[in-house]
Amino acid sequence: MSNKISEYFANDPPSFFDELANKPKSKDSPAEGISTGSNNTSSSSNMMSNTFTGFFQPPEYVETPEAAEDSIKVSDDVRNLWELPRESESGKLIMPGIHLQNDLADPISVAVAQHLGEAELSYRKILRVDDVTQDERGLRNLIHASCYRTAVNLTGRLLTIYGQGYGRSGQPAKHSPHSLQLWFTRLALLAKLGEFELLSAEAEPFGQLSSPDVFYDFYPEMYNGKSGSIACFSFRLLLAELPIYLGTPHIALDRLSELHVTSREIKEHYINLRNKTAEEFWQRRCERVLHSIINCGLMMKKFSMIDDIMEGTLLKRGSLSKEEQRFLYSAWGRIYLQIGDIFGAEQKFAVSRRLREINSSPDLRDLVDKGLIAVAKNDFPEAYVIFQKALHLDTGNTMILNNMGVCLLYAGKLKDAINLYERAINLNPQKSLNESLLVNLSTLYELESNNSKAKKFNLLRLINRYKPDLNISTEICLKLQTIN
Amino acid sequence: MEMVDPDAHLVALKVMRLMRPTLVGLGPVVTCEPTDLVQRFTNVQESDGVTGVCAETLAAGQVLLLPQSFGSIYLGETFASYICVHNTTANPVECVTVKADLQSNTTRINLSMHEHAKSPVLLPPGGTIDDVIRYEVKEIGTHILVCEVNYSTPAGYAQSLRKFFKFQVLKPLDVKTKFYNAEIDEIYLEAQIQNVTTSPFCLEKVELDGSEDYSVTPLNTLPNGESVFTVKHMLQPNNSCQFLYCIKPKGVIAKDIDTLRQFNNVGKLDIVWRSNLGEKGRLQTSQLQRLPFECKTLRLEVLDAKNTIKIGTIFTFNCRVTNTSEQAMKLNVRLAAKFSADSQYTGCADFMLGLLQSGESAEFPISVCPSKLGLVKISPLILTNTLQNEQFTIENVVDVFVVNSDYNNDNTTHQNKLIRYESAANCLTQKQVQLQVV
Repeated sequence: MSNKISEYFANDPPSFFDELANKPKSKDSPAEGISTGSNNTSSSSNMMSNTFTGFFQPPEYVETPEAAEDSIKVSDDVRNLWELPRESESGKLIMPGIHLQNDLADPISVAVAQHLGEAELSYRKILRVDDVTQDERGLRNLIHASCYRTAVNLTGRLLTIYGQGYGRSGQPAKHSPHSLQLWFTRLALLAKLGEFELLSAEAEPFGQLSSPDVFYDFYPEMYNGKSGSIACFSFRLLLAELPIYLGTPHIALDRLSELHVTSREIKEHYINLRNKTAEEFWQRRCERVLHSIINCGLMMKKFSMIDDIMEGTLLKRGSLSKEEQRFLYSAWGRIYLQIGDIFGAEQKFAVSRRLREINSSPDLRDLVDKGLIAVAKNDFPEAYVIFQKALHLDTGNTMILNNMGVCLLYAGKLKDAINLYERAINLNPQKSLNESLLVNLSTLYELESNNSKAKKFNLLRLINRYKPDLNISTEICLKLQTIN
Repeated sequence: MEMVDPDAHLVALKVMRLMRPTLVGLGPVVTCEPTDLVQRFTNVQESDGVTGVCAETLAAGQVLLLPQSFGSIYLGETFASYICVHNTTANPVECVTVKADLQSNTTRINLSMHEHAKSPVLLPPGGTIDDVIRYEVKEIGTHILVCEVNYSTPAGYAQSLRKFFKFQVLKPLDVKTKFYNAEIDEIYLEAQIQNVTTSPFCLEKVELDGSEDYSVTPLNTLPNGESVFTVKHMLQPNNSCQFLYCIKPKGVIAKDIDTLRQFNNVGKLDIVWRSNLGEKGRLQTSQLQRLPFECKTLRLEVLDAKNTIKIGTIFTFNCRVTNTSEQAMKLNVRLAAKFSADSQYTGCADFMLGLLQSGESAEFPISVCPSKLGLVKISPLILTNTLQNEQFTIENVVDVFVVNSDYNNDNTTHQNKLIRYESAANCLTQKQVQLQVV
């Protein structure tokens, strides 16, 4: 096999890595690395932290008009329609409050201070709450820059203005579209950050949003007799999904099923009213719920349920574009691959391929799927070549680089895998330092030698500079426990 | 379980099991609608650029993650491991060789690394000797991977570093079989495969490899070629599924009862399964034995009988009786008539056949007139050997489906060969089968 992979490289068209090799910082191209075999010792010197002078750069944020082009525009009445809670449930009102007295701690700073010393923290230049305007615009700005913890802290400040801050849990509260949006944003960000314990505690008062005080009907004077849910649909979905994160997907499945039933009833209501736009709008919401149900099914390994939803519902919608169908078939195939059903996966991928524009060459989607099939067939050199082709279509794609590194290891090319990851980080630290690549690279460092500690600390230095947040703790990402 | 403190060595030895990587997503899927306050939760940097808007909320990942634990290994799977020897010093280390052995309860196998690991090499500072070793595990129980590095110190002393990695090989599946001797020379095999691992897997291939004396027809697909199983042979932990095969003796042995009696090996089941991201396992059963061939002193064959007849017509079928004993016999054939109201047919027979020497056979027709609609069973036929005064009772001689006279029976089929024995055991109880790696 070792001969085979060098042949592949020999016939390979020049890649962006070859160009990169001409730059002073990178000494060897992967082609050299592989042809000289795994005794190559000059690797891993290409990622010393002193070569990095950059810092986290928030991407430029442009305020976009409210609705994206592909979304369906409907009136507030259509959007907010929801069944009013029954009498029996209406006694209980929602009284939320923030559970943190101070700001959400930054675990990256904590790890840096512990392992590298306080001084290193001066290089951490992520956005802080005071760097943005103290309003929803600032919030959007922080989220756009992936500074999710800072965004959580801003929601904390804004909710405190509403009288729903620290210690206010259990105190009567007045809900408005804006306050509930802030809560939704906060809780969604906590989910994104993997802060499930806090999420669970702060979400608890909201239940399933079936109290009367989150409906316009509860405040007839204030909203001029307006009707419907004040809490947005995404909030309902998030609360229904929550048990997935807490390790009880079967509860989430029940809640999501209920959400789906209600959404479908509303859709049918609009079918009866012959309101096409509203019907389509609610159809999309039904589908979004089904996606979450599938995600539950994946956790519970209920693969036959996933098949039923895919085949019986998601792919049945008449207005699905070819492109949308492709992505669904591809996702379906990847689900098959997880169980080990290569034939099933190949079938789905074949459908996905046929849906591509006629006469167009294989695109990223096709190549990634094909590469994963090769992985499943244990042909890692072949998978590497396919992913490499995909990389030519999307230079610097972290997911593809990540997968190429895994293939190199299984092909017996540990040093090349490390090289590849270090190059990826070199090229675009802000983008490449993601959770899976960090876990993979730390695993490789541990396998390579006894001095993984220094290399991992080096990664920590880079995370400190470039990453506002990680959704897995740095200890786990970098396997720091094993250091001590 | 290290023999020597590794810090004392000039080289480090690292081992990592390479089971298939896992497919993961990009973390919790959080979305909102464009009219919500934050408008969107993802930015360009996070999105992988390939998933497409309509499937981005599906957690069908495409990011490969290296295995983070040793995991479980099952009989028939391939044990793959990355072995890496690293020079931890600032000086070259000379005469380095690496050896990996896998020791089970009964054997010790050397697993070869790539070529240049065999002859001693010079390892520069920071340099590594590393490769992937693979071995298909053939035994259940404790296995120990023994890795040994030999090298010379700068002073020229030979040094040796050994590491042991112990793991258990578990049983992946249970196979149970059931045999049925059918009316004709066919045998039916029902094989039940149970997933005894802790996660779902997918049965990629379950095939009965017929022995040279028997031909096999699998009965697990629909006429359109699709599998009878809806979920692609997917088996959840502890679940099982059944596969059915029809087995027929091949030409030569089918004709001769004595030969047939000697060849009881019908074949082996070949099973291939795949679990996480295509992790493959393969096992074969031991030779499956058909039922001991029931061959008594006498064999009755029903040679020509219609499947379906109309009510009010005569149902005639031909029988052939063979003397399979060592002595001659003279048989009286009697089909007892029943005169009760719920009798399904009328007609009886009582006649003598000529003398039958050992191995000889005689043919005779029997006619009855069914009097009820539906499935009518003709039974019992009593054969008495008047020379020995012994009696053979054949229960369930033949069944016929009686239809109304206006029934359109374009495709009446014939059962042209049924074999009957006196009170034969037609089904053996379920039996657990031994599994082996091939």
